[in-house]
Parts: sequence; C-alpha cells; structure tokens
Amino acid sequence: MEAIKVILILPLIAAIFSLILGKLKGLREIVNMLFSGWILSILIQLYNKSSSITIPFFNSFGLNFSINNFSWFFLILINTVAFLTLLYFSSSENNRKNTAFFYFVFFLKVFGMNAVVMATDLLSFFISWEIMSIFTYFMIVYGGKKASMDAGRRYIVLSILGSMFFLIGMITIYNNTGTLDYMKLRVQLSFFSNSFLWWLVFSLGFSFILKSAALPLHFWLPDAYSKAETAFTTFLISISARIGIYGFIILFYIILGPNMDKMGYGHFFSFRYLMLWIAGLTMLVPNFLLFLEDDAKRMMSWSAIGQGGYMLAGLAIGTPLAVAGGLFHVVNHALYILLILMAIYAVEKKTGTTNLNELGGLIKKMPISFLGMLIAIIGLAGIPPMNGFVSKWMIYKSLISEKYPIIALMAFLGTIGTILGVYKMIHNIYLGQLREEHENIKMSPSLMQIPMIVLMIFVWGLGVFPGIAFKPIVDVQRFLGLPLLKYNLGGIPFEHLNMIDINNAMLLALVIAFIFFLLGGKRIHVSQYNNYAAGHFLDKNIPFNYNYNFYPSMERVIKPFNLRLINYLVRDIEDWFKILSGIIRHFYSGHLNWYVLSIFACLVILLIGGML
Amino acid sequence: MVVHPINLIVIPLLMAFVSLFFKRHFSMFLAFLTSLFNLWLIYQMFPNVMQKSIIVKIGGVWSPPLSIVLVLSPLSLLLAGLIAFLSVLSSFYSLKYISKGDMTKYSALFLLFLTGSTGVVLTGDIFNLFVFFEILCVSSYILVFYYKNRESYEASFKYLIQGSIGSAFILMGIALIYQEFGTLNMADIAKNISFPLSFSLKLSLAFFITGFGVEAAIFPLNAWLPDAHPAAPASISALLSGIAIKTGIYAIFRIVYTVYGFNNVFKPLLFLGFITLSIGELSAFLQNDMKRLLAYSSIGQIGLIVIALSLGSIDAVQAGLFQIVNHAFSKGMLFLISGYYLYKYKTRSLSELEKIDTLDICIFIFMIIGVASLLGIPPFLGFFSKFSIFLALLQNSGVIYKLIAIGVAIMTAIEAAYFIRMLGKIAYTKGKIKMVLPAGFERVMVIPIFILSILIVIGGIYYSYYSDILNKAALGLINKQMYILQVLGGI
Repeated sequence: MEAIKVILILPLIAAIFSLILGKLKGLREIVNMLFSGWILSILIQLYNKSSSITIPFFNSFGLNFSINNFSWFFLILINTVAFLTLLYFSSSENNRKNTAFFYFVFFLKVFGMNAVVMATDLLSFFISWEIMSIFTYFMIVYGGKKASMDAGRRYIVLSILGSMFFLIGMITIYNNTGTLDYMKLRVQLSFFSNSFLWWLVFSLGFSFILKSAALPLHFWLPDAYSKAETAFTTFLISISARIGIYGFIILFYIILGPNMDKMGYGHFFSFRYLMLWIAGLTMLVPNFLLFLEDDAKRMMSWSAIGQGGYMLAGLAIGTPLAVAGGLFHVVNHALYILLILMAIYAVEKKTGTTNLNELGGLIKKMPISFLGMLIAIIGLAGIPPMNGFVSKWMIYKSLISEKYPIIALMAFLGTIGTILGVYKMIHNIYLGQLREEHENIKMSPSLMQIPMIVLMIFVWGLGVFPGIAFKPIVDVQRFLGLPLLKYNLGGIPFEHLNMIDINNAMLLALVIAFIFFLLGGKRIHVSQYNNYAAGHFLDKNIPFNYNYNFYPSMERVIKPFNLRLINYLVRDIEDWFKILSGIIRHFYSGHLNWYVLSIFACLVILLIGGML
Repeated sequence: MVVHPINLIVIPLLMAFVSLFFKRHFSMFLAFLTSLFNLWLIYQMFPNVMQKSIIVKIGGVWSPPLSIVLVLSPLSLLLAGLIAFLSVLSSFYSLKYISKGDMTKYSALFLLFLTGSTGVVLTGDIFNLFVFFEILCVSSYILVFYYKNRESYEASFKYLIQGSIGSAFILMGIALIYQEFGTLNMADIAKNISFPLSFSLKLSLAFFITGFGVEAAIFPLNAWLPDAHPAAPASISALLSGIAIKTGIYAIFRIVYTVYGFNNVFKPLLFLGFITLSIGELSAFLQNDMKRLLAYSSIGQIGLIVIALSLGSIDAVQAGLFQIVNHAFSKGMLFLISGYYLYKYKTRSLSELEKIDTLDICIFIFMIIGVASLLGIPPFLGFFSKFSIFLALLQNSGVIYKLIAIGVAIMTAIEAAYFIRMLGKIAYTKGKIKMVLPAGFERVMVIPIFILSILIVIGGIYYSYYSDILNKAALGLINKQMYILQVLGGI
C-alpha cells in the first residue's frame, strides 16, 4: 500500500481500535501509542518524497491528497505533537469518564488535521476542515461540563458560519474558473479583477481568521480551549489553533500567489498591510489580557492567540526571512506550549487545580516540571537561547527592515505582556511559600517526565541549532515558489545571527556567575516558610503568598483601553439575535384571525409585487 | 395487471376502507403492507419510466385533452417513491409507537394520506390535483387531532381553517383557468398559456401560489405548521414534514414551471423563500419544545428548498429536489427520534430532557447524523444537497445572489446554534453518563431511524447512482414543451 494511504487510514483504524479496546486499561494506551508512533515513523521516512492520491467523490469532483515537502512539514509537526501528547497523557493515571471516546475523538481529530494539510484542492480541504472542526468541538465538550458545552457551542456555530462562507467562496471560484486545484487556481486568478479577489479573500479568510483566532474573531478561543480537558487543551493550543495559519499560507502563497500584491493601493492601503494590522492587534491585545487571568490554562489560551499574531505577521510580510520566521514560530510555539501545558497538567494532577491563586511553592516538590516550565517560558517570552527567540527575532527584524514600524512596536509590546504573564504563572505555581495542603505531593511518574525532558531538549536545541528546523522550512519555501532563506546550522549568516555563539556566551556568563557564586561568602539555607512581611516574621501557620491580584497597577493602566470590547460586542450580538428571535416568533401568536389575514395579505402582496 | 400505475392510488384507497374492518394492530399492519406494496410497485416501474414517461388514461377511450390522465414521469415517480418509502418507515414505526387511541381510524387515515399525496404527484389533471390535495389535507387535519387533547384540537382546528382557505384559493385559481381555456388537463393548459399573461391568468397564478403555499408552508402562510407538527403523533409529524409540505412545493412549482412555463429565476418565490428561511430559523432559535423546534426548522428548510427551486435553472431545480430528499430523510428521522424520546421519557421539553441522566447512545448518534445532514456537514447527504444549491445559486451573477448566499450561511449558523443546543441539552448529564440501548420492543421504533440514518450516511457517496434520476426529474419539471409532448403526443 502506498504510504499516503497509510497516513490517511491509520488514524481512522486507531480510532476504531480505541473504541474496541475501550475498557482494557493499559492495552489500549499501548496500542494507541503504537499507532501514533507508527504514523510518525512512516512520516519520517517520507521526508523529501512526494506521492499523491485521488479518491472519487461527487459528480466530477474528486478528493486529492498529496504528501510533499509542504504538507510534510505540517504533518510531522501535527503527528509529533500528537505522539508526545499521547505519550504524556496516556502514561499518567487518570480517571476519565469515557476513555474510549477520548481516544476516538483524539485520533479522528488527528485524521482531520492530517487530511487538511494533505489536501491539494479546495474541496478536499473543506471536507477535512469540517471533520477537523467537528472533532475540535468534541474535544472542547468532552468533559461534559456546562461551561465547556456553552463555549463549544459558540465555537461550532462560528465554525459552521466560517465553513459556509468558505463554501460560498469555493463555489464562486469554481463557477468562475472551473477548477478547485490549488496550483491551477493561481494561474486562473490572475485574470480576475481586484474586487473578485477581495470577495474571495473575505469568504475564505473568515474561516482562517476564525480558526487561527486572530482579531477580531478571537473571542471564542479562551473559553473553548481552557475549559476542555487538559489533554485536549494541550493538543488544541499547541497545534490545532495553528491550522488557521496553514490556511493563511494556502491563501497567501498558493491561491493568491503573486496576485496578492495586486490587491490594494501602494504600501499603506494594501492587502498585506491589512493582514499586518490584524496580526499586530493580535500580538498586542491578547498578550495584555493574558496576565490578568488567574487560570494557567486560560492564560495559555490567550497566549496561543497572541503568538498566532507573530506567525501571521511573518507570513504576511512575505520576505524569505519573515516567512521562515513565521513557520519556525509555528514549530517553536507547538513545542514550548506543549511543554508548558505538560507542566501545568503535572501540577493539576497532583493538586487538582490550575487556578494560580491556589498554588505556590511547588518548586521543590516538582523540580522537573519547574525546569520544563522555566525553559518553555523563556522560549515563549522570546529570550535567548531558547527557540522562541530565533523566530521572534526573525519576525522583528523583517518588520523593521520592511518598514512596518507600528506593527513592530506592537510586536515588542506584545512580548512585554507575554513576559509579565509567564512570570506571574511560574511565580504563582512554583515560587513562594508552599501551601499546607500540598505538602505531601510527590513527583510525577518518570514516564511522564520523559516527554518533558525530550521537549526541553527540543526547545533548547532548536534555539542553539535553528538550522535543523530551517532545512524543512526552506523546503516549504521552495515548494511555495518563494525566495529561499540562506541559513547555516547556527542561524542566519546574512543577518548576523549566530545562535551557537549567543549560547556559548550565555553559558560562559552562567559559568562565570557560578564561579562568583562559589567564591562568594557564607550561604544560609532558608526554609520556604522563613518569610518576612512588613517587618513581621511569618511562621508556617500564617499562609502568605503573593498571588492574588498580581499586577494591580498594570491592570489600572490597561483598563481604559477596554481590550475586552469585542467580547462584550459579541455578547451583544448574541442578545440581539435572541431579541430578534423573540420578535419574529410573535408572528406565530396563536390568533387565528391574524393567520387568516396573513393568507389574504400574501395573495395581495403577490398580486401587487410580483405579478403586475 | 398488478404492476399497473393506477394501483398506486387505487390500492391504498381500497385498503383505507378495508382497514376499517380490521382491529387495532392488524389494521396498522395492513397500512404497512400497503405502503410496502406501493414502494415495490414504484420499484418495478422505475426502469420503464426512466426510459419514457408513462401516460395512463382513466375512465374512457378519449385521448388526453379530454380524458383524465396520470403522468408517470421521473419526477412524479421520484416523489411517489419518497412518499411510499417514508410511509413504509412511518407505518412500521407506528406499529409500536401508536399504542393508544383508535388505531383502526389511524390506519384508514394513514392510507388516505398515502392516497392523496401519491395522487397529487402523479396526476396530470389540475382538478384531480385539487381533489387529491383535499384528500391529503383532510386526512392530515384529522391525523393531527389523533390524540384528542386540547393542544391537538387547537392545532387541528387552525390547520383546518387555514387549509380550507388555501383550498378555496386553489379552486378559484382552477375556475379562472377553466374560464379562460375550458380545459383542466395540465398539458393542455400549458399549451394554451402564452406570455405576456393576461390578468386572469396572473390572478389565478397568485391564487395557486397562495393556496398551495399554505400546505407548502411558505412564510406568511405557514402559521399552522408550528402548532400542527408538534401536536400530531411523531410518525405523522415525520410524514407531514417529510411529505405533506413537499407535495405543496411540488404543486406550486409544477404550476409555475410546467403549466405557466416560467423559465427564468422566479423572483417572488425566491424572496419568499429567503424570508421563509430566515423566519423559520430565527423562530426556532429560542425554542424549548423539541418537536416545535423541529417544526420551525422545517420552515427554514422549506425556505431553502424554495430558494433552490425558484432559481429555475436545471442545476438549481436538481439541487432543490436533492434537498427535498435530504430534508425528507433527515427531518423525518429527527421527528421519529423526537417520538422515541416522547415515548420513553414522556416529555418533549428540552429543559426536561436535560435533567434526565441517561443517554440513549445509539439514538443520540443517529440524531447527530440527522442534525449534521441538515446543517450540511460532510460527508452526510445534506452536504451534497447544500453544495449543489450553492453551486446553482452562485452560477447567477448578481449581487443579490451573493447576498442570498451570505444570508443562507448566516441562517445555517443560527440553525447550528439551536440544533447544537438541542443536542447538548439531551446529552448533558450532571453526574456520570449512563449509556442505555433501546430495549425490548422499542427496537421496532429504532429500525426505521436506523435505515434513514444509513441512507443519510451513504447517500452522498453514492450520488452518482441516482444523480441521473434527479436530473431527469428536474428536466421534467422545468421543460414545459417536453411535458406537453409527453402527455398530448405529437399534437
């Protein structure tokens, strides 16, 4: 059997197996991991190979899937994340309500995402997209809590609205060009007017903006993702939100291609600049809402929105450095966010909460999880030597050199928000005074630590040797027909970025600091409970954690900007629909005389309006 | 002579009277057998009809303009097949579901309903169309009143009044036509009508659209529907939603396209369709009563069907017929499921169903399939019909069609909102979910639901096997000349 068929079918088989093996604890986990690992191992062998398949579907339409350098890049990312998620969350003992359904949803979601990135025409893209969306919905509502069901409903309604717009756009394209194939479209579309391209961008882009949760369609994400079960939150935040970015790549560089520059007038009124503004706001707003949250999962959901802005910015600029930066940020974000959420889950599993106000001082109890989160948040904040720095640097650099200073400012400010947020998170969970109820906590089982350690190596390793990731990224650029990034193992020589040197310098600084530390004077070991506040000694019995209301002054500063405006607006729109529905239902009032009158009215209207 | 087209109408009519002599379940079983017989008959005749339409003369040796005819074209047989198929499933379902009340009368009326609806789609005579339509309407008025409680009394009475006004309008339309041409044969009328239309023809068209529109549940005429569908027994709701309103749609478009010969976008109905869609979906938005929600959703779907059919191109009509099939299957199934919940939990209020902490897992999966199909989510049947509708809608260039497409998209999102709310409320449980399967004779009710869900799942994939039927049916509806030629011969 061809490899591509295997890649398509294996997740489906795994989903069916997970239903069959529903109650067999242990075996089902092993089988699922084997399936996931199998897919991953096939994928690794498929690097730089291409194959494609056509499945007859409907009328003259067929479903076309292919593996090429472009889809391989996303496939390997999705399946690595899926594998690591499974490895981590299967090895942790859990008391889920319905594990068979858990794995079923997980694998079908993976199937949907794989199919989305393998699709080579709009129809197969759309169908895979719908499958993916539905199982995203199931992931959100899996816990069966009321809050998650409400959030999930909002998600699926918007998603269906987006898909309907996509369908309209797709059919407009088909009726005008007679093809849905990506590669043929680019040639065909160059014959069409600007207004047609804008209509197309609007109808297709709605879904992509929605799925990548860029402003102004980001409001659904924090509720939906943070209220899901943590295993699903992990998968959703780390990779699922990024499928929207994949959509943007399709839109920008495959469907539109060179036509993209046609749209708009000059530098400031162009499509590119519009997308950059969307990206800029997405970088800015969510990252400033992030540190006001009190729940770690919710915080990371906001961060997922914010980081999406960097990727979108990179893609929208379109220079080789920027596109590579955007794609690299997708990889980096997936890796460190996975690591952060694993650490959060380790804490959640032991303490039963992700509320930052109820945690503290866990550093000694859970050192590996702390180290993981530390490395990951350094990456997330974009500080060297972790991977996030490289991609963010590439995006900053391109924003400045391509003359988008305002967007660059937004990007910098967004990073400040991120830093504030992640500091609050690591502080509130791991630092400070240990709570009494958490004194008997033990470390997570070692099987759970393996994926975390692997990810730490990835996060740091890609920071030191970004060249490893640049190889497939440049393959993607080659596939898309874009100018290629010139790189070496340690970075980008052309732009004077050498991460190996930076890393060495930092390690050297660390060594020197450590030497000073050793040479320094007498050290006193202080217990976690040895605290002072306002000149008073606080003993063990007085709980003292500086957690609640962490950034009061920042909150005061950003409050006038009303960053949650869109959330309120959306609530208003929902209310309007309710009111509208209430008004319209008055037609069915139950008064027969009105009903009869309306029949006669219809006759008259038909005669006057339609016939004469 | 068993395989004779006339038996499609005669046998159910005969059995309607015969069934009065049987008791309780035997009469119900007779209804089931008769529907099955009709389905078998249609299956037997299908290959011939696909080759060439069959014209049956009734009562006399005269040729068509003078005699009464049945026209068995692909379109009529498609709809008759749909009617027979849903009747089979519904009557099978009723074997278990209808456990109280006067079952003998139920089956007699059920068979009259079958007679009427089959007659409407088969007849080639406009007065017979009226007569069969009356049989259909009267039997449905009484079937809505089956439970004899306050709610069904009110619903049935309102339905009766509005339906009667509609019928009177139809009769006036027929009178105007007869005054003009002195003929009642549809093909003959079609031959005589020429553009521009005279005032009396316009008036009669308005009468027809309004009159049939009452049964077809087009917007200002559909006030009976949200009362009647929930009040009827679920097996009848499925038929009312799956068949009765479709026969109204059929009659309207038969007259607009085949008799009057409009061959362009029929704008009045396009707008009415869009308004119907919006009103239906928005009314369902806050609905708490499961069957009422489904009834409002039916209004919305009818709006979509009317939009598709009134576009007038062959692709659009084909898409509209496809949507008729999809809606008959999905909504029929959802009504049967609502009956299952009503039977098992004695409630159709969603807030009551929310409190129940068991989940009928297999019924729930069927429900998801039905909802997904109505929303147009691949790979279910509804996706293909919605896809075809959009394909046909956007073939017309013009901002208005794009706006309608966007409107349909928004309405689909609203539809999704209330359907997902419905599913969520049914699935929601406070504690641990307890999954149950249908037990004992409840399985009888599950079999029709299962069959419909299978058809919805595989229907889209095997589209190529029946696209030809839909295509010929659509051609038969919009091609006036072909119809005249078929019925009247080469006159």
